[in-house]
Amino acid sequence: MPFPLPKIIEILDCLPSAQGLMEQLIAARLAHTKRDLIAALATLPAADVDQFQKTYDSLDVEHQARVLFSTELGETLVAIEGHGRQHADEKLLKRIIDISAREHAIYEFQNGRISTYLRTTDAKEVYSPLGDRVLSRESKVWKMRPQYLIDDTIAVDFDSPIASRYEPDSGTLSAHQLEHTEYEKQLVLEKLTTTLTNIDKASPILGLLMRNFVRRIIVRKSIDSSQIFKNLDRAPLGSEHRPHQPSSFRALNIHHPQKTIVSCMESAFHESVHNVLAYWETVNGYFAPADREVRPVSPWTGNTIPNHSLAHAVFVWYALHRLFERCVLKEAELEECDVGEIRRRLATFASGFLIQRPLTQCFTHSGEVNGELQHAILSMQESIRSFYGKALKVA
Amino acid sequence: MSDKYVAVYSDSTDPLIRVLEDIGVLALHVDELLAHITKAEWPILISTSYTPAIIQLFDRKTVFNRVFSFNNTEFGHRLEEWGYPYAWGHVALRSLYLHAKSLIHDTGERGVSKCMLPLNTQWWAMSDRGGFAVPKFLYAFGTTEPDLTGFADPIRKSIWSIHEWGGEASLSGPEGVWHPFYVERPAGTPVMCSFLGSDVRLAFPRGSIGVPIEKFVELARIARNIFCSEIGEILTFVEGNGTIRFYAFSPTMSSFVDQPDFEERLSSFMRTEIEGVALDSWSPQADEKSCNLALA
Repeated sequence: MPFPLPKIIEILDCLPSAQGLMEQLIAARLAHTKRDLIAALATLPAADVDQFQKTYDSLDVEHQARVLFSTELGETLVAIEGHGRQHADEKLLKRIIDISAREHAIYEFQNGRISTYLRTTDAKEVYSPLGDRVLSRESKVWKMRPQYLIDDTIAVDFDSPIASRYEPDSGTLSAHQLEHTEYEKQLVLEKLTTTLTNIDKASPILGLLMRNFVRRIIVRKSIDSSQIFKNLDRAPLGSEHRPHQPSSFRALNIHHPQKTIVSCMESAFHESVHNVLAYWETVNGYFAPADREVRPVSPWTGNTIPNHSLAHAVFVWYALHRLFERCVLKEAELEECDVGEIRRRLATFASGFLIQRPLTQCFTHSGEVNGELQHAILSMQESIRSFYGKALKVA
Repeated sequence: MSDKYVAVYSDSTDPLIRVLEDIGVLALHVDELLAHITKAEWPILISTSYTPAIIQLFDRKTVFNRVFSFNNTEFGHRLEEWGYPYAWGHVALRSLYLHAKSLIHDTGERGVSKCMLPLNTQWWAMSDRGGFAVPKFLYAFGTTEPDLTGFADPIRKSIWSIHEWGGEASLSGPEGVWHPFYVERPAGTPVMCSFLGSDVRLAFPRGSIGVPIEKFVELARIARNIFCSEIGEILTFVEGNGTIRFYAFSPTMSSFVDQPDFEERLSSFMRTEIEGVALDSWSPQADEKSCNLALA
């Protein structure tokens, strides 16, 4: 079923259609992932396919969905697609088998059985591809290690192999990794729980958005709490989403005292919206080219970002404005929120929409911006400009 | 001239402002407008209460809007105290400009205003939209050093470094770490081109050479549209084979204001009917290619 781009705006505007639209988008993504998986498996030898099916077919529907929605499967399929399926690295293809085997191993363990995988692996830890469950082996005995979860739904990932990677062009995973203390882990968990609770209070639909589209938050510590910054712009407190890792985002230094709850709400929702857009793009194709040689300047941050990122940015800043408008209405109920900070951030969210020109003129690629995208961008800009109508006229 | 023009500026060293004042144009520093701007509760955020006297200064005039940055201004400090991005300063100014006839330059922060685009975007626009030769460059992403094979003599620069072309730039802050930017070192003879509307003049920083003036007239015409400025200066290098390579546009006019005939040139330009940049260029129907400036 087609999912026109303006429907994303309906979700962000929390219209009555929002929940149904989210379900529709998730179903479309699920179907797309299944097709990609089948296509990738088709390039494997029959024996390998059998090995995959043995574990995958043993899972119930819920656990098969866990595999399909997982960050690990998503990034593996993206990598295979990037190589071209016929030329994909054998390691990537084998990884699909391993992903299913690990989910199966944990599923069996929870049902009181030790799978062949657990009996034969040399690994000391076995992670679910969703990141929310992990088995660890102590003295040859496997145990389910408690994982950090928000609302029993979203995994907070401090130190899995994925969370511990070094990525030189990542704003978060290029930072040197320090170990969280247990106290800091609990603090991070509390802050993110309060974050989701506040988003729920401001808008249950937008809280549902975060739960539906984010299943793993990778948290990296790169500075100690004692390191205080006079200029917050220089503090490493950012977050990022990477399209090759669906259903997740990364965040820096949530434990730090200068990472406020309002900032956590902004980061978490910002990246959740990126995940929604990535879901849409997986099914419908990219909004705009991701060329990096000539990058427009974001009217919000002044940073140079690819055209594709600018397209995302318009939706994200719009979504944040919509969320924080609702936060103002419910500010008496929000926990640990500085209402002044909420209003100052609204000024920032609005600022990019209030430039002299249509935002479509900020893009730097040959040819016209895709018609549907253009219409969506202009409608969001008009919506915010109308909201601030008084500010744009003489008092 | 003050019956048709007014100037607003943010940099006290802006060389054009001195010349404008010499020919009788009233020039206001942005800080002089601060008394009319107050912080307001959301969702108003900024309340402007321009007096009839101030509005009169802008009424149906063409504005030399030389607010290229709020850095080092009291206006900018005030926005920072309020926790507002500088973009809101331009919102406040535009509510005053709405009384004017037109502007000399596009408005907005660096990189958003068409008259202050970074170098790689300027080159993309002038080659893609204008068909002009531009330098070879590489703008990497992240911290990885790029592969510079294919460059004869690359120099590292900031994408914002419009005026420095001599050698390696010493980059501080994030630009020293992220997204390295390399350009082929300019070769040939530098030729500066200035335009005041359709009036085009050249200057030769390192000795004059014979050049086809009509090519520079066309260059200026296209630049005027792409960079949404009625006045500006352009750096080019003319190579041994005659190729005119566009290097940079700047609205500052710093290479020309000290020329003996500049004041007369500017006065003559200001006596013509200037179309200017339209104030309602927000309209989604606005033609970005024409930038609402009349093509001479």
